[in-house]
Amino acid sequence: MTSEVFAIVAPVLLGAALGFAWARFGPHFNTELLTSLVLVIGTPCLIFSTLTRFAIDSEAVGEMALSALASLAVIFVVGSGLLLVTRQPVRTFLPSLLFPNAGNMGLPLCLFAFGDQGLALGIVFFTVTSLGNFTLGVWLASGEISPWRLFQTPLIWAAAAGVIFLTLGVKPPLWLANTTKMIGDFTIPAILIALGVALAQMKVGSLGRAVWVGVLRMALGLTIGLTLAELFQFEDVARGVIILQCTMPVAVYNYLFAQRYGDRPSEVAGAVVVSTALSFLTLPFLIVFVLM
Amino acid sequence: MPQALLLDLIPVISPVVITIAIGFTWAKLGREFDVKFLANLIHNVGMPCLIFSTLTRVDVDPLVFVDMAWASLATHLAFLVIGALVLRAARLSLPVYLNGMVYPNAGNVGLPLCLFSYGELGLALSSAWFAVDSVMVATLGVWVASGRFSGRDLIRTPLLYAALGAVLFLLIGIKPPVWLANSTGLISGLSIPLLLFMLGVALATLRVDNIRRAFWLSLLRLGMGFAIGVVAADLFDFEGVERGVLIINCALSVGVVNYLISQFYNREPEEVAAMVVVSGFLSIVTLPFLLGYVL
Repeated sequence: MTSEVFAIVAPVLLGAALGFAWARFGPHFNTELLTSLVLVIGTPCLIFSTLTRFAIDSEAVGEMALSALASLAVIFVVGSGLLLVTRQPVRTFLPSLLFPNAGNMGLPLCLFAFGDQGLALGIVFFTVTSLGNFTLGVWLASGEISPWRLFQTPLIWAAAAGVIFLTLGVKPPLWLANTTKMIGDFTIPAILIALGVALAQMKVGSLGRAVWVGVLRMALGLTIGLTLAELFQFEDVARGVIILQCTMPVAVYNYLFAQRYGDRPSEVAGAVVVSTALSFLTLPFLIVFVLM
Repeated sequence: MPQALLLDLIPVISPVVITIAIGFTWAKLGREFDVKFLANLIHNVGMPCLIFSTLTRVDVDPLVFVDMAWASLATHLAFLVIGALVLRAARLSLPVYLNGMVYPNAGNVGLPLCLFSYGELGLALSSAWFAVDSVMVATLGVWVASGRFSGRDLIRTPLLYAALGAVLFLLIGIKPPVWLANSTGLISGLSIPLLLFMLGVALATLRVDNIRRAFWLSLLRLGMGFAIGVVAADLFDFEGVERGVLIINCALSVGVVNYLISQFYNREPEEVAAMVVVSGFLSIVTLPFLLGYVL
């Protein structure tokens, strides 16, 4: 069991460690270029290729998308309630509670824990939460509502195309399948390494509140993941994916948006670092739990 | 026969062509593209993982492996000598052009092509050819492009460790542990798409005289490769699958890895990019005939 769990966690640890070491000792790491390649080209290809490659039915995809939305709705209510009661700035910390690191960390875990089926369901969850991150998350950080931003992200077009093929029950032509598969393959390693780089470069402020927010995200996530798995009567892979994805640490994007809109980025950085470090400790147990 | 093969090749070739086109468009749109950073990332991280994971994934019988490895070494040396003589005669710089004559696309084209033509045995044999190719790129190739033999450069090349480590696993006949296979397999995904983007970006800055020279050098690579492959197959008494795998690998187009190395050591990378792409397009025409000949 130990070696099985290590085989699942190792790619995440090694990838992030590589990025961390590169940022500390290596030459300049061009995060902007890599991020835009990932956003504009890599992730859309990965989403399309993963949705259309495997034999998953559109019903399973719909349920996973719905449960991801439900997790956002519940955390929105419970999270802002908890932040209000404890007199924390809601706008600053709510995104950290809402959006888990379902991409950089969640996707490779889903892949290695549950194979291709896991990756496909994991990517559905990831698509929903990252679309939430780009709309709701930006709104919370900047105060500007921009619903059309949703349609500016290439992610949604790729997801829509994938869902169309899925519901029609047809496979994309082989040339398109091969191309999106090959291009999509650079996405996960690139974001994993970028995660390590981000962790090394973040300017972490006072840790007091950060620890609290980080721990709250993980605890809230685990509770909601377990509850949703029961409510939706998920089994096997779907159950594992929803629990894993909900329990991921604070997404790095929350830090990027906090930085861009000047909303206490150093404290959000603290929440990212604390929850990520914590997740390195809790991951093995979480993996054992979802595999049982 | 050639026409059917050409249609079969479309799904294999289109990822390459489309990804290069995306890189080309990216550059033409004037978007930022930090080639040096990407070359660093692929050279130090992506490519070593790709070589390690490709080589350790297949099952190879050590005996069969050794024969093909010797044939691979012999053909590489022949490419090296003939390539150097021709380039000298044409007064072209060896550090810039020689690698392109020697190292074909054995990894990203040769392996899938041999798998597709001969099944698992073809893949295993092709891996033996590719193993020697990888070790030579990481040693001689780096030496030729850097222009100086430096032990320090050599021991700082992750490619070398990846290739040697993989060969070690192959010779002992065991698989790497799952955690290592998972990690290198995942990270290896960086290499090919990012390399092809870079190629597309390099193409966006090409001029016509680059392309003319690249055309002649590409003809040389493909023609010489085929001839040496056929001669070597006879000399080694190869038949059937072995013969086919050797000839296919020898007659492939200029390897993308040469572009990576020339970019890394700043040896007129746009010239090498032109060779990679022109020979690649020529090989779309020659491949069906090549496969028709060996199959």
